[in-house]
Amino acid sequence: MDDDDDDFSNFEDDELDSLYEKNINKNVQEITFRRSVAVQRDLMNNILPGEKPIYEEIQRKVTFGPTHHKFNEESLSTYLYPTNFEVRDYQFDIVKKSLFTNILCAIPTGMGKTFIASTVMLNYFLWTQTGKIIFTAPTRPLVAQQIKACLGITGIPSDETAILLDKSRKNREEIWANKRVFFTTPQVVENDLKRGVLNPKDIVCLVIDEAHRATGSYAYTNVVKFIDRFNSSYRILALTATPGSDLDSVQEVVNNLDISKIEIRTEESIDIVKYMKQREKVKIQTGLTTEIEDVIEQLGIAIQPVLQQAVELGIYEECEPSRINSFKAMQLSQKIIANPTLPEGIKWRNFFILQLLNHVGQMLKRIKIYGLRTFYNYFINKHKEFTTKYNLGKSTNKIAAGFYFHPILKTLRENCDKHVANPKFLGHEKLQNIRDELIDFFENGAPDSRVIIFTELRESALEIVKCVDSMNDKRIRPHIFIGQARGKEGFDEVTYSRKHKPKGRKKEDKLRRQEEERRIEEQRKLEKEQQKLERSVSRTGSSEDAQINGMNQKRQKETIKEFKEGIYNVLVCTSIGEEGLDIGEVDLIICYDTTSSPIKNIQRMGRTGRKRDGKIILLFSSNEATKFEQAMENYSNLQKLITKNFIEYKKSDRILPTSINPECVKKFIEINESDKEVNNMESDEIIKYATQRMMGKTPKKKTTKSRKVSKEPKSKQKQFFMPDNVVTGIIKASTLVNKYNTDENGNKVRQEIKAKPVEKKKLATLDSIENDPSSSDLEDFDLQDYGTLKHDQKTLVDILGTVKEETQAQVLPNDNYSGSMENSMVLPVKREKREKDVPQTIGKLDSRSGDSRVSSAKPLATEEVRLPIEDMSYFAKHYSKQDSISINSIPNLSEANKASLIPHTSFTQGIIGLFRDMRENKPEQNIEFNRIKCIGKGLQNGVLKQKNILARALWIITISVTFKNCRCRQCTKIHRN
Amino acid sequence: MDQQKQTERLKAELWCAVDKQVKELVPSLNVKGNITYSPKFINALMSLTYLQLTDIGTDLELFANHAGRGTITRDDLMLLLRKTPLLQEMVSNLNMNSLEQ
Repeated sequence: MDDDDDDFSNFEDDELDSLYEKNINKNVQEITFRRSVAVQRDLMNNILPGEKPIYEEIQRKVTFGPTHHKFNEESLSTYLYPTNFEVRDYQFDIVKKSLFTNILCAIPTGMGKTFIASTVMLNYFLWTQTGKIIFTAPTRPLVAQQIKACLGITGIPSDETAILLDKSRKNREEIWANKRVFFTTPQVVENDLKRGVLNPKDIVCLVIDEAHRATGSYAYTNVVKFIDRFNSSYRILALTATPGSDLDSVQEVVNNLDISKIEIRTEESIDIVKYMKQREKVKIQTGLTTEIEDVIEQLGIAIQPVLQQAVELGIYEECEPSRINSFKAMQLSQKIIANPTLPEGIKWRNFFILQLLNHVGQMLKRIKIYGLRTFYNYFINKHKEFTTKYNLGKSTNKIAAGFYFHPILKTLRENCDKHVANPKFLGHEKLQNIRDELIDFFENGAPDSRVIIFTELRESALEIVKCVDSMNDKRIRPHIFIGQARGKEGFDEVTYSRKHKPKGRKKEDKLRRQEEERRIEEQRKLEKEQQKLERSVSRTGSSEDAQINGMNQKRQKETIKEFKEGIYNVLVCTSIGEEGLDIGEVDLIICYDTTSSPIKNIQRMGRTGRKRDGKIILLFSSNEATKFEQAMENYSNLQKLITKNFIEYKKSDRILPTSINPECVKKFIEINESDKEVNNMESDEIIKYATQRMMGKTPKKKTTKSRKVSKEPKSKQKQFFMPDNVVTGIIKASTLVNKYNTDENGNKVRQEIKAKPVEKKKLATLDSIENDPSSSDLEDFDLQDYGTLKHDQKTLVDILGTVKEETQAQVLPNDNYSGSMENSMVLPVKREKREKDVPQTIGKLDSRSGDSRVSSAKPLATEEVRLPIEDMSYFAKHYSKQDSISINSIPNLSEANKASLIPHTSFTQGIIGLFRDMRENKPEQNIEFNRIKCIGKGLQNGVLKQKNILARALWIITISVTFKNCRCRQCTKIHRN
Repeated sequence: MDQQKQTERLKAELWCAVDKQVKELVPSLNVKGNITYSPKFINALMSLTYLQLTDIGTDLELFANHAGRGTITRDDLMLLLRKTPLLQEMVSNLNMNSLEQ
């Protein structure tokens, strides 16, 4: 099927071995290409700085060995494709590809991603005997949707499936062990992988829904990274409607999820268009009402002086006051804060100016896009906050004062107060549009239709609800739908001013204050109750309440239930409604505002047109239309880029042997009756149902299970999943360094030299000589008036044995070493009372210790450490067990260990001292040398008489002695001389 | 004081010998003719030689003592050079020559 899948015939034998041994069947070959490149040179023919003479390119060739998963051999020849639904070409294509490579499947919402996932899961379920198949999605409704598809379409037996949504479920170990198909959230998978409950090597297929979230350190990324460490043979299928907002984020997702190919389809793709439900997109450009224009103008007059100042200071670009951009102002103010070169005074003045511009920008945005009421709430809040602070003397911001106390704002406030008080006044033309569209929709459409209105701001959502409700049309029943955070409370003037009032220091003052506080609190409570009662009377009360308190999950669920039941049929959502909620079939989407994020726009629009045709109304005012077009164009450009191979992919394992090319079998899958019910269930019911199925249907079974559990030891030992072939235990750093030798080609060669086998008798005797390295203490070493230093290779075997553990030990059984035992490096030292010889011996040992260290890593390369034959025979003659001390690991005397405490002989000390002094350039030494040199020169010139001819003769001897160990040509010459 | 002067004198003579030797030897070692040496090298070599000589001296003295003799003989030297038969041979020849001379 895939031509680029490698077969294994061209593998070296040992390569194959290592593959089988490892089970991580991924093999990465890196080939580095270097080519010289013409470089620019200066007149002196030197390469200019920054020029690289070599072009380097690293090619990675990734190959995969046979997988460790067990197959059902008989089912491998085919793959199933359910025909319960109409067979769609693009789905068929994607399924076929995603069975053999890791695919990121980006198709528009409602085009059957779940079906693709179910089919892939089904086939991996049939192909493998034990492999675990995991479906992950970030939210419950998505999981439920998938369960529905899996049970209702593919007929994966429900007693093989498991749902793990809540972390509280106790017997997760058992579930992971017994089931094969899992529906869960990525967080659960991540947790259980880390806890060691789930063995990453069992996983054969991982489906990731809403894959565009796999960026940063989201659970998806961690899960894939974790599994990759143990298992390279598993299939990833990533699903999303929107792979990312730019090429970089798409690349990140691809990298994080080991994707080999992106299958992207847009609404315009030829093979998709015919299946697309009709989605009518209506764009309505709204103007600004005269009231709004008035307000904008008044604001402009008030801010003009500040803007002027900002432009003069060069901190804000010149523009019309009505076009002040809050985002730009905020960015600039942050830049100013971060600039360390500015003096504090200027910095903060500039900051406050920009902050004010930021607020004004916000006001402008609100009034232009959302309407007068939203604007006025914000404005009054900011105004109140500043004036209270200023009047109390807590703020001395003259610039802001100039704005907030501007006389024109007074008229602005009066006007706005008038408008806001009028319940019939509509804050924005968009609201009128909404009313018109809703009436139009409910008159023409089915009465059981649903509408969702999207907006970014909660305040605006509430305003919409109120506005729609005030139409008093019985067919239209709106409700708000927002997240669970509490609404921001506005600036509270009373509390603030009381807090910062000058306080009395006396006790009565304090008591009075406390009394006052209590009274105010009670008053407030009463007010709140009153408001609540009022709200509960009014029809939009519940929405208002929600806006103030936020909606917790329970309220959200209730609201959605009511929405589905038809108690409410218009839902006004903030961004929470955009994805992942199973809101059901919606026929009309109204976007009250637009976002510059294409993903959000697409998700919003994806709420409709799933099973039947839908309509989308986009409301634009001011520059929103261009913003929207821009965002969508960027997105379609991105899609083009993706199809043009700008993304770097990773190669993935085919898992199935290349020799097998399954044939497609299209088949209508019979689903048993009980699972059929699933198709008609709602998400929560599905989860409940499936959980029941997972646990076993009858309560009887449950009890037996729980009994079983109680029999088992309560705390199961924690399992640690290790990558294959890891070496456990303690490893000496030196052995890590020298595991490999490089041969003449620069390739790594494992140190394995075969040695001749030798009878075990010898081994035994040597064993008895052998000492533990730790017992070769220094005291023994000090008593060197006798002593045969013996360096025994055998011990190296032991050291190595512990280091390399069984893996190595099996490869290199002890017998291998006994061959070298004959030549084992045993260093004879003649009995001598002379102290002087000790350092020499040490010196010798020292020189050899370097060798032996190397040889500890390459145990059988013995040539370097063998003694000459004379010495061997000498040793054989003189060696007896009693007078031997054996030193196994030769102390490195040059380093700071205990051995360094042994004083050097005067001779060695002299040498060390001499060179140390020379290195440090000691003046005394220099003076001495100079004097000697002078005398010497004198002698040479005959000023002084040379007395001692013997000196020369002696010197000849000494120089020869010094060079005695050197066998080079020059030195032998000297010897001969 | 006298002692110090003597060692200085001895060292100076050694310096002469070393200097001369190095001057003689360097061209012969020097195939390409680009090896030079710094004055510091002579100093270091001289010091080393001196150290080696004193070492040898004490050794020889102790060897003689061990043999119950008051004078150091050729045998002591042979004992010292027991590990380098090549040198032993050389020294014995040299000694013969010098004796003959």
